[in-house]
Amino acid sequence: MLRYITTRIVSSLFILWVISVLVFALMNILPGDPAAGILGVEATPELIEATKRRLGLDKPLPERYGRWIWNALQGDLGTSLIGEVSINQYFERRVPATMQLGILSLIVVIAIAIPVGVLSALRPGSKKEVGASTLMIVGNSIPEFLTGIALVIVLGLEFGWFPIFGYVPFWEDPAENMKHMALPVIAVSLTATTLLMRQTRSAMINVLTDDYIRTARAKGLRERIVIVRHGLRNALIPIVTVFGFQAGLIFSGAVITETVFSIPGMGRLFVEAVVQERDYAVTQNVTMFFAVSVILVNLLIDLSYPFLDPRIRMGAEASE
Amino acid sequence: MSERSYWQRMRRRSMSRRSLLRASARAGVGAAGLALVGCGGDDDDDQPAAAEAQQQDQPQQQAMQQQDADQQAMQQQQQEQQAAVAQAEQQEQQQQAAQATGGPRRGGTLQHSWFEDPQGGFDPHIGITGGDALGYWVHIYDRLLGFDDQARVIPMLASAIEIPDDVTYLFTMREGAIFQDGAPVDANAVQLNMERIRDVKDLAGGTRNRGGIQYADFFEATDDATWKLVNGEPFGPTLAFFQQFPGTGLLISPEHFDTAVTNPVGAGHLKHVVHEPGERWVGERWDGYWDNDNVHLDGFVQNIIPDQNTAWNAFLNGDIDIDAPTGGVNSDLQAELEADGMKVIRGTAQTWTQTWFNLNPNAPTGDLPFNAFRDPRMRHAYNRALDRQAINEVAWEGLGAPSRAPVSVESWALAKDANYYPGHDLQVAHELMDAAGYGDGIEGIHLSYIAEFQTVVTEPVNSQMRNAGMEMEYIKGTEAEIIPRLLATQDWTIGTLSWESPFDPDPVLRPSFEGLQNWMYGSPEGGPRTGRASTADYPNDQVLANLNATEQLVWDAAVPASQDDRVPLYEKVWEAEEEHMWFPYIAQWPANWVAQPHVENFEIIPFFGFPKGMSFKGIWFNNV
Repeated sequence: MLRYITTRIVSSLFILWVISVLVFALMNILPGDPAAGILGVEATPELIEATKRRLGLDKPLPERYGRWIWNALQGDLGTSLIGEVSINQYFERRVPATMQLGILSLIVVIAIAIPVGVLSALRPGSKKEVGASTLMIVGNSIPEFLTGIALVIVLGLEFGWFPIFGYVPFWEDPAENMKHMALPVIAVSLTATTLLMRQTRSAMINVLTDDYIRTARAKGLRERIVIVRHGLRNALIPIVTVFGFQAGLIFSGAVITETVFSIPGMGRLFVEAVVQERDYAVTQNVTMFFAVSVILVNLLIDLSYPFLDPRIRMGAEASE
Repeated sequence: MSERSYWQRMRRRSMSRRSLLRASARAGVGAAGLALVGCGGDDDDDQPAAAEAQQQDQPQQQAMQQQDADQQAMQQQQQEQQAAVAQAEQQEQQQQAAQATGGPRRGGTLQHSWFEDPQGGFDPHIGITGGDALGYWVHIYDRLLGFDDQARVIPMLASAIEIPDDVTYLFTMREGAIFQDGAPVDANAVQLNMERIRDVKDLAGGTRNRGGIQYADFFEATDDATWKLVNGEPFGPTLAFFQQFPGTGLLISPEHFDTAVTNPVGAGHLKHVVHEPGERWVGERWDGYWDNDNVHLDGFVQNIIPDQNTAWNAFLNGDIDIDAPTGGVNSDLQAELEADGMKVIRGTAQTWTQTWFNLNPNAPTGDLPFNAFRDPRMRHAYNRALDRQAINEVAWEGLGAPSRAPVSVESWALAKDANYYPGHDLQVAHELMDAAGYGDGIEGIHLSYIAEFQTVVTEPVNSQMRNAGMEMEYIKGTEAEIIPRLLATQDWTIGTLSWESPFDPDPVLRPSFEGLQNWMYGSPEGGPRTGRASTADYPNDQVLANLNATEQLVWDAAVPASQDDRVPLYEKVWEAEEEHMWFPYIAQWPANWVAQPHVENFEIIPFFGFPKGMSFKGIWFNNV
């Protein structure tokens, strides 16, 4: 078991390292001089060189990479090329917004997708099941930004139930925070729920045809126990796998939602750094944030497998 | 927010909603495509035949020029009269409104939206974008001079300006004006600011910040009250640079030079309170401001909303007090908004559409169709063939303006007849083409453009040119798409539709132009380059020199009114640009602004196109 966990962690770290090398390399082989980009077309070659020296851009690539990674491991993400602001400051303010959006969305996704998926599997082809599936498919078909705009118009402007832009940190005003997060969370989760719901339905249908389910019913167990403890638990592996995939998409896809709802999160920071400011230092750190988020989620998913399925745990222990 | 529901308003203006969404899509494309395709072109060496023909037809040219000047003067007079009438009506309405509401009241916090944080921070001497100036600096910093609704010079921190000769400017500092930290705004502070602008190492703003002192021989504080600037040679636009945004002379308190990026201290009407990146900037009224009697609001919040649709929805929801809807305000939307009590003003923006031709003599040789425009008669013919008012009507329901020289004659020290506006006359166009030897027309000219929203102008221009016998094809695409095609056909692009004034060094245009130059002339290794070239590895010094020389010639053309050889601006520019570039202006874009019912004294400066120059000074709320 320990070996299983260790292997997963080491492979995740290796993937992270590979991504960091790729990200750093891409940022530095892109055409264009970051110093010239900062200074504008009026800059003289001397000024560009001086700026490069000041920002450390004249150092060899391996040295710059090493310094970046070493400092990052100690919690120092460096300074932005534009305005020379500490990148840590950006993260301190923006990460909570993105994390909250992602986590709340995932909670909503789980709360809707799994029960609806299970109920759909229990009554396949019924009117309710068809209706729920249709709604989910429609929700998934509409692009996230359109869903967001529609929510703004209907729930924000027409009914005035929710604010339509901005963000209030949770620790400043929890109630206002929740009001501001409501529409973005709905927009994100509406799109993400369908896939998980359909995966749940499919997995449950497969499981419910197994012999042990019939045995459990034959033993006289209550239907709820049969479905949840025997059925759902055995169907969880593919459900959790898809959930991990969705989580990665939600975190990395925050760009659109944060832009539409004007939430100061990591997605918007990425757009600003890339499109508006061409700030390579911020861009590579934000990219690594998304990479770490996705890999972390998948690592947690991998580590959960032995606990969800004893066969995997026993197999891991046996190999040790 | 109005009692009538949002849906009711949307249903009633379904057409305008579609146009709004379409305009939003255009804005999205436009924002992503801000890097223009440069224009370029190559050219033969000078054509002796054309020059000779040009000399022989000089009397005819002069006669036509006189005719043009007369017509232009008459048109200008009519336009000025119309503008004066409109202004008088607007002032009367405002006075009536003020009387009805009891006059300006102090109080309230104006909620506005801006699409981005200040990219370079709050230091106007090292910031790089106009967005920083308009969104943030204009509230915190005052400058030496301002402009009124006719773009004329008005005093600000300099209470008077004296120009004893062509090169000397004496600024008298306003008595009693202080910075927000209490330091005096005197000539010594100006001197320190100008020295910093001249000397600061990371001056990314370039000419835009240094413009007013770029030709300075020296400047000094002759005493506490007088700051003196002496140019090495006459430079007409000197005062314009001290007026404009961001311009030269946004004054920072010298004690706070080092911290201005994050903690700005200026002499403007708002003090910096807090900047929450990605969320908002907050400023509050500062009671030590020299013009405090004209500041009525308690504070200002710049909400950072990158998506224009969201900003517009926020305005409709009442969260934002003033907004400029993407795509403008057509008559349907205006009627809807005014029925809800909103205030709508329509004016022109500081954005022009122009065609930009490169007539560089150092371009590769070849008998190419656009060589015809090296003949001034063909350039005249092009201008005559353009019906600018018709384009304005087609593109923007007439809300823009047929484009004249995009500068104020007073600010740029130009002669009155510098605002040359050739009127539409197809017959004259044909006569000019005949005289130039192109009576059968010309064809095969390609102009490039990159943004879909530019088609509102490209299509009517293309149609008009075809009527005149000038077959032009507009090619849409990115630089990477268009250039290889043009290289393959040996048909160099000669122009692009732009939307900025050439008198304002435009960091958007320049990289594109340089990039195209590099494509055209090849890399040091030979052959076309891929991607956009940087200034550092610019391969063709001669082209760069020509480009810089062209800009120099353009500046030189704007000579002070005291010089004797006063000619219309475009003529002067054409003569200077005969070897280089030519950019006839087509139209000035509309600027439409809307405000909530409680906003009073809501007016825009026509030349600048923004409310109160974007400072919102003078605005007050009638519900406090």
